[in-house]
Amino acid sequence: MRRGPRVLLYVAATLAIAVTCWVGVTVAFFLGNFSDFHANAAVITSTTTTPLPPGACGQGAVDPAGDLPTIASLTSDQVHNAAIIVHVGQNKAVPPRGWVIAVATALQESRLYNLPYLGKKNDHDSLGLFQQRPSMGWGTPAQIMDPVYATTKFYDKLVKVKGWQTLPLTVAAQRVQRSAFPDAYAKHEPLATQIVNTLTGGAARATGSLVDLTCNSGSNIAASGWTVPVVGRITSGFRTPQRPTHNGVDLAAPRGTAIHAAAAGVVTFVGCEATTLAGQPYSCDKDGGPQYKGCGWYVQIAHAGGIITRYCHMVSRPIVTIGQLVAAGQPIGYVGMSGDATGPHCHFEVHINGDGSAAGAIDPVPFMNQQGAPVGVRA
Amino acid sequence: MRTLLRKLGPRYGISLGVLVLVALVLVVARFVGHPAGSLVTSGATGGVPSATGPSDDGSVAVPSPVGPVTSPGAATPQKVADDFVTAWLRTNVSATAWRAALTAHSTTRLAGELADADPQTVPATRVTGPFAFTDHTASWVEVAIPMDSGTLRLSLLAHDGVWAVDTVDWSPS
Repeated sequence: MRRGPRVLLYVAATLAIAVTCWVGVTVAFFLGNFSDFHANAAVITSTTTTPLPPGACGQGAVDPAGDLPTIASLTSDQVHNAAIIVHVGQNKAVPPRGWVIAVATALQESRLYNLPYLGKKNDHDSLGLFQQRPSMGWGTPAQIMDPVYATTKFYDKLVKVKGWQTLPLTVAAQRVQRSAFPDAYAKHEPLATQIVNTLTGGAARATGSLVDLTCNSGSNIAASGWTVPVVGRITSGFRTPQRPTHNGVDLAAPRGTAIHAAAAGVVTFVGCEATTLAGQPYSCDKDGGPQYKGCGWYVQIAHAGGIITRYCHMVSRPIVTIGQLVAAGQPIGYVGMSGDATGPHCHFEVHINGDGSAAGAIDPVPFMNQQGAPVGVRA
Repeated sequence: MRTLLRKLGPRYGISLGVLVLVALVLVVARFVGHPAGSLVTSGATGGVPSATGPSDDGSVAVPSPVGPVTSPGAATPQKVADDFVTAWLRTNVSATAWRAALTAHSTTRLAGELADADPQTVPATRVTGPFAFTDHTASWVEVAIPMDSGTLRLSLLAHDGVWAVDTVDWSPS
């Protein structure tokens, strides 16, 4: 072959490889889009499903062999396997927080399918709902392929994890799973909560650490993983006629009261926001008032499922840092009246769809009720 | 379309509308998103509050976005993420050696979470596309890495300008 055509051949081959790679990457991008979309779908359905009635915090035993409800985005096989997980938890007297953790773990490991050996592409000899490995002492392949056995093994290890009821879901799950992706379980918490609520009539709204399914209240953490930031009276509601741009609720509490993270998440902002009405910067270490603007010392936390919470008017610099992972109920700062505040309170906002702007804000009262962490106490 | 929606009923119709909107936003966000490598100079605001306009006593201003800060002589977040991924995928070594290689690029917190981790649970074998840096502040970076069987998502934290991986998330494809 003469030199010219050979060079042309090289150029053509390179182009062909480049195009193939580009197509591969593009396809990967689109697949990525679909998996993002799938993850977000859980959020959308959870905000459009029929709200649970007040006082619905779980009832009776779940029978996997009986009539099971349909759950949007899940097949009947997946719902059946979730019912087995809840049923085994009930039989073993594991409190409801454990059911949510187990369902979320199985969503990550197997998408709630009882997976057989999938070949080399799978995690080696991992099997079943929780992808347990015979070679690591979880049981024989036949045992692990029995969902009741696999679930029992999961709970046996979970309840031995110190403080598992109050650890962030992904931390509790990782202590059992020992996977190469310790933070992967967190994102399934909203869907796992929805599944447990649907199967049991609201058990994820019960206090997470109690077997007797009591509607959660006070500063306890619900099985959903949510708790109130501050126990206090609501002194101003969400977007009232008098305050149409009030994008949160004001929870009154004495100066210096600890403000708690409402759920596990990552701190995405810590800072001071205070100005005079004319826009001049003002200190957050001094009390504000109606002649000032802004949220004062505040914290913003990103939770699973695109939920964002914000906590304003702290008395001093918050005690968490950007990027820090926090657990539900962990203190993040103290009540004060920095910025636009006429008395000590925590201005608490809830946003959906990962949108921290006013457009993403929702009324925290019904949202927190659904999570089993009702804000505001009767005056 | 209208008769279809009417058949579906208002609740499902609205759900469908919201889903379509979300899909659109995701696709648009992907296309206008920050290409890999634009991290140092770009100013994404996704990680910080973006409320604008009057908002009563809530947040009113947009804090100025800051790019990730790396101490002179320390590895950039891109380099730390790259080294971590290489170590994460190298599972043909002992569990102890695999964990030690990861811990070298991890925060203390993540090292604790990986203390008993089993390298045989690594569900991928190779990187299939560019690293996508999705969000950041001066001391916090998120990156998505497409792999042959899913997407690995890391977050990195800087302590005094020295970067380390703090979280590891996996979404199978």
